[in-house]
Amino acid sequence: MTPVRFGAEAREMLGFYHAPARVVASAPAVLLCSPFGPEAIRSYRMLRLLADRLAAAGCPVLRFDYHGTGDSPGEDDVASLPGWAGDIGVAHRELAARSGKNTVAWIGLRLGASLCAMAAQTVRAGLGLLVLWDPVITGMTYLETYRSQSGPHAGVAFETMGFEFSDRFRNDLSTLNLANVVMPAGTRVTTIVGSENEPALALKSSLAKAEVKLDWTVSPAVAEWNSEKALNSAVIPMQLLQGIESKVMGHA
Amino acid sequence: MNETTLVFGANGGLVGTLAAATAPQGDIGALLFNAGVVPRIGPNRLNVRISRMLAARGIPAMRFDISGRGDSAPARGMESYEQQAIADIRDAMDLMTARTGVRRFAIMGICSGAENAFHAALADERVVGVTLMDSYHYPTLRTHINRFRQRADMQGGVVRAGLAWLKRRLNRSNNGSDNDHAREAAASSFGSIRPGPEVFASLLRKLLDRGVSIDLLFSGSFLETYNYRNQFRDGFGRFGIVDRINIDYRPDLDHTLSTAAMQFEMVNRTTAWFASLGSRNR
Repeated sequence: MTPVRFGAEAREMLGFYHAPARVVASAPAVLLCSPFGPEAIRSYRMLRLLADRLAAAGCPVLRFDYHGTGDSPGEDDVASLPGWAGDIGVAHRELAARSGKNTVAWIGLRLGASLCAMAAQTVRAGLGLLVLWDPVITGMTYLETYRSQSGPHAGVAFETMGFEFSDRFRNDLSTLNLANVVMPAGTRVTTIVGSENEPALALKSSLAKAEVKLDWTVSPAVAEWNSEKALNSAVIPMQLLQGIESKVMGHA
Repeated sequence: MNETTLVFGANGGLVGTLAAATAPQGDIGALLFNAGVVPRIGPNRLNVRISRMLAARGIPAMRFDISGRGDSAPARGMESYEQQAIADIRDAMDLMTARTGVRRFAIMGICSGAENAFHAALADERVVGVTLMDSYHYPTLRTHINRFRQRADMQGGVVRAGLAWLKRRLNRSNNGSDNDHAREAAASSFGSIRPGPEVFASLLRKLLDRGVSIDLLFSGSFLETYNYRNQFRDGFGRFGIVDRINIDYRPDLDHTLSTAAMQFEMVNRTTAWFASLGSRNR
């Protein structure tokens, strides 16, 4: 595992490149796209373990923090969905160049999945598989989830668990609806949801209309991400990790 | 901002990000690491903000993951968690010396990280300061009385609070878990073994006699075990060390610094403390 800094100087990011443990010609490179804020903290170790597993299976893997998040340069106030979706494109090219692989699979978790869907509209070359793992389907619901955990604090319009939501970020989220994001036809998409609620079914219908190659999974192992109680627990649903690894390698 | 992320340690399994001082001042480096299972960035990126501000003030700072947390590999040896954490902190000090030249260190620790920082300071004389948030708690009689009063206020009177207390006691007995001491000890030390007050006082004295600056910060998140300003003084006054320690009870802060205002306060408070060490520890 090697730390890598990449991206334009004004929008640098920190990532970790996991070189494959063995050569498997058919294995795709894999880009892991994190959730945001408290969910990113909670899932951090899990994504590292997933990267290790995939690298052991022969996949070159890059996981990274979007600009202004985690350990990357930048401050919280740069948060924007189009900006982070652009970061995915930059990371995709970085991984393709480092690994020499023409095909990259993206695995996005929670808001990372939504960002992947946005990025897939512009980064088409070399995108072999898109895994949407418990995606944030409607930004308004996501905002409401956090709003219920957030108190009014002096000088800050909206925040949760110490993460500030700027006006721009809230505007981005309020207009996010994955069911309206048109995925390029023919894209291979694996979606994992916890239940088939109304937004999930709307997304399923939208993906079907877009004529993507859809693999739709409902898994009770999708974890609880958004609670104060869960903050001090590291989430490692091993069965789900094995399933995702199989899908990535199966695609290969 | 000049940051470098490094892989280091005896087994090459540790990961940390070094924020180099823009205009180095003094010879003390700052170390920050995990709070519980939270990665090296700290609760809500707190460690990132603190280390960047320290670097801007001339103090090199490294935030890193101890073995098995964040990006760092699990420990390979058979050391206890506590001993491994000490070894990891020592590795981080060696790395900082090699990269920046600093030979003395101050450590910030939160929650179980506070306990790790405390034990590392005892084990390594290069440590000249520790700032510990929510480390060991030692409730006094007044702590329990205060808590009973708080419950009485919430529950509408002493009688109701008394009945609720009795009900909790009965439930515990019926559940076969009536072990107040074990429960309180676990709550007061976040699951690890809390030293008795005499032992803790002697360990603090050992650090103080070595010239280590000690800052104990208590948040308002643990009303059962720490709930008034002079609690530490009441519990440890008999040991004659209290006036040599900076003790700060901050009921306005919570354990996870869960608001932007708390983060802002914590960043300012902590950087000021680190900056003050340079002049105190020469």
